[in-house]
Amino acid sequence: MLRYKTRTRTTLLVTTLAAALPLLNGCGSSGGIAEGTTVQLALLETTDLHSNVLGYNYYSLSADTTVGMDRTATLITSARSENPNNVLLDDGDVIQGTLLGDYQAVASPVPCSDTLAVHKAMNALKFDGGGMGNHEFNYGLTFLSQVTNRDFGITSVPKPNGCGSPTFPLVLTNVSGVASQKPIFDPYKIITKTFSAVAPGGSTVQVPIKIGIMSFVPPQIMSWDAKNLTGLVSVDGPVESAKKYVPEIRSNGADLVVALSHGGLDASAYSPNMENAGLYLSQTGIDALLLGHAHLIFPQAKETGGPAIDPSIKALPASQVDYVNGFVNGVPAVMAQSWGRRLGIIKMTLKYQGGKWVVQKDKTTTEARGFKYTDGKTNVAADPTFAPLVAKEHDATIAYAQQPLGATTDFEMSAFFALVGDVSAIQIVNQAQIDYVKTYIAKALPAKAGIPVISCSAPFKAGRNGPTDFTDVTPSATSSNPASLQVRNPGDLYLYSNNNVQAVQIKGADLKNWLETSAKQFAQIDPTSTAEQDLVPSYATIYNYDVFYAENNALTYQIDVTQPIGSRIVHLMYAGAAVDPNADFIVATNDYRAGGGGNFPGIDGSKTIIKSPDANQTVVSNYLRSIKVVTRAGNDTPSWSFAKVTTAGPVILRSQSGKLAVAQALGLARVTAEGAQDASGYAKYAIDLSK
Amino acid sequence: MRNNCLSPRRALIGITAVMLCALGFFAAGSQWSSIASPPPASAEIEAVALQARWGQSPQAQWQLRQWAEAGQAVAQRELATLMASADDTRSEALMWYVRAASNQDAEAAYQAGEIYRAPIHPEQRDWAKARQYYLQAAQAGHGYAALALGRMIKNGEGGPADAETGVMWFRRAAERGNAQAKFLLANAYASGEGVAKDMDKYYQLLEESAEQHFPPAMHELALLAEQRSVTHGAHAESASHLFKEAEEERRNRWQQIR
Repeated sequence: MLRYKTRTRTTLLVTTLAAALPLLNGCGSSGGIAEGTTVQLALLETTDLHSNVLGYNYYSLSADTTVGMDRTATLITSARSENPNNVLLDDGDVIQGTLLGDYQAVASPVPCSDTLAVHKAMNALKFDGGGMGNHEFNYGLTFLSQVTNRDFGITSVPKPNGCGSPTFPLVLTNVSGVASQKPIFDPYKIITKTFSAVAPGGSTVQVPIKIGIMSFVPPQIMSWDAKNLTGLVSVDGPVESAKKYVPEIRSNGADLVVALSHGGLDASAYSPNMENAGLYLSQTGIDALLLGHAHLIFPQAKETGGPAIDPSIKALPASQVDYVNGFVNGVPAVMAQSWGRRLGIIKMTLKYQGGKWVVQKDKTTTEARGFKYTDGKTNVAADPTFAPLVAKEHDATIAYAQQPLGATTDFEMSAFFALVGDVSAIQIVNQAQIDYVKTYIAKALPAKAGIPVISCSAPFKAGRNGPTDFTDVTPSATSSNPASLQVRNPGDLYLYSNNNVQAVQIKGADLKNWLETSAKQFAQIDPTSTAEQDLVPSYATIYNYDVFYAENNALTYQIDVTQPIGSRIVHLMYAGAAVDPNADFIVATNDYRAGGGGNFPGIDGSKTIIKSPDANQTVVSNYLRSIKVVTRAGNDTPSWSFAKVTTAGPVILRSQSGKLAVAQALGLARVTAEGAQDASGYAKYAIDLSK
Repeated sequence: MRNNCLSPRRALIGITAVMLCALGFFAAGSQWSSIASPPPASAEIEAVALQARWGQSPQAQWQLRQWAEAGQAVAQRELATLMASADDTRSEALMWYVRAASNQDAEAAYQAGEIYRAPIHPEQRDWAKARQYYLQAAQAGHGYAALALGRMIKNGEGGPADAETGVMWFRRAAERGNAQAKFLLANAYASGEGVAKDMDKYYQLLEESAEQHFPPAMHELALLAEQRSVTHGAHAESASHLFKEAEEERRNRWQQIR
């Protein structure tokens, strides 16, 4: 605070003197540039590439032509040929986002002698400069320091020595070391490029143009990556940081000042804590604003049939934001979506007047150009020189996905009969979640150590997307011939890679309500009806069929499907006694459920006691690795069953054809026969609810 | 694990050092004192608070306390947040939140409500006070306070369960742009709880919440997109993109659900 005000005054003094000097030269040419010379240039932006080097999906192990730098490369080539005077800049969130990124950072960390695949690609594309995004901090400061070959001046972060890194300048303006009180990257850089300009007579002259770049990340990195950053770095508000350096950048000769704002647009009152400070950065004396973080398109897409402007941008004050032409408070701005899908292009004309380059504002245009920019339908081709650049890393990532996990199982874990009492694919997830939450409580919430920890999870893949859409892991595993699980398999057991573990504290009454809500998935079965009744008429929301489990099956319950919704849960027992409505339970689940997903009574964020940055998928993976051997013997008693009832007519469950043997191997006596297929291709299995 | 910079002993050393510095600075003629210059703007106080918290700057911490003692509501609230982040000063945090709330700081009133609703020591729970502080903040336009109050009322915490009034507060918070409230409001419209069932409003609110990166909304929107092309709203993105987006945000948004 103290130093800031003093520095501002000193800076003002220096700037005034510096600004006065050129005027002393008088009008006319300076360094040989004739008055009235014009230069047209384009600032090109990529943002939020998120390690999408090739357009590829490492989970499904198939190409994805809607994303990827191999196609961005094609956009860059065309934009450069249209604009020979160009500056290619990246707005951050580069190194994290795909399995490739995780592989090179965590599973098989890239050594100092090598360069990250995404940086290799950017070096090949000859970027001119880059800023940081919040995701650059996901893998920790040591990793970031190494892959950028930057000494952060932080004692606990080893100095890198000649490590592979971007060959273009990197900047970050608003993050400093706590001990050093200095920015960990260069707070700004001035890039000099030689451009072809047109002198007043019409002749071509080569002129140097200096572009100053700054970069800003959301202050929320201190929360999002608290574990990696607390005590080591601190953040300043973006506007405060910009104001600190813009005068200095100008006085050091920059003709243009460009802000790489890893943040979008928000018209709320300014706060240094603001996540999306772009609107306010536009007012700090800059010439161009590159936006990112929000993964949106700005200005409005120009290609035929392109998407309409995002409602959140449309809602911004029209007096400040022109989303058609791409201006924020009169400053040209672009946001090039994400994953390489778009290239931002800001075309500007500068005229040399009075010894400096003056932006001709009426000649500025902006565009967020997408893969289908030519006619709105045709996807640009991938640049064929691209894939060979990163072939080694790409193949290694694919091999990693298929690698052994380090755990075996002696039984098939499937969801074909999850809705009639099979827990083979669910119980292991519940066990992993309980293990994780108990460990967490022991370490961080000792006051709650006496409260029973239970868990719930759902059969996410149980017919929702068609008659073959069922979880089926290690179908050939047997006790005499156990199967080895692959690194990908936790993704089959826990389908959603975007869920984080959370735990809630509830009462027995809440537990009963939760179970009743799950039990809504069943139709109400009329035991006197002779017509065929479908036990689960729709699989649309089967992800809301939570199955509960406690260690050693201490929690058990039955579902009476002859009852109406709300009255189906019977014999709800914990540790041999009926569940007391006032008893406390801690339930391990995921952030979707804990935050209100599925509208379970009272489960709306208010009961959450644990929020974790760890993905449920990772928790399952780590648990499997730690126990190494999964056996059917440890997993074959379900926590739930139906309240037995004899029905006058057939009751069916729709599932994948040809799986009766699976039910038999599981000892599920209530699955008595496989019937004909229905119109959608599901086989109708006969269910005897008296068994 | 935790840095001890907020312990009383270190604070005292820090304060002494800073006072010596400050004396030197005053001697240099700078008009920096909070007594002489106009009161600092909210953004300025927050900038100092950033330094106090993440930069662990003793000068910034001292400045914040000066402003707080002088009655600056924003400084009182920021000081409370600083106190709340460390075990040895957490009990002082509530006191500062209450003081800031009495000076009409809505964020402080909300935080006081949070502590009274679900304190670390369960015996300190006071649902009546929680509702009172949430109400103060909600009436001043605080989105999360309106959400929290709505939940207490809907769930019957500190009073009879009243879905209609609870959902009314969700709507107030949603109108203030609160993504989490939009999600709960969407749920209410889908189920007809506390409000007439309206699937169009459900889809619209769900999309808005997902756009603001609220994780449960991103997840649900992706699930819906899997089953049908989403034709509501200004854009229709494929389910795989929505899941991809949600996966990227997973690392950042893990604390976002309140």
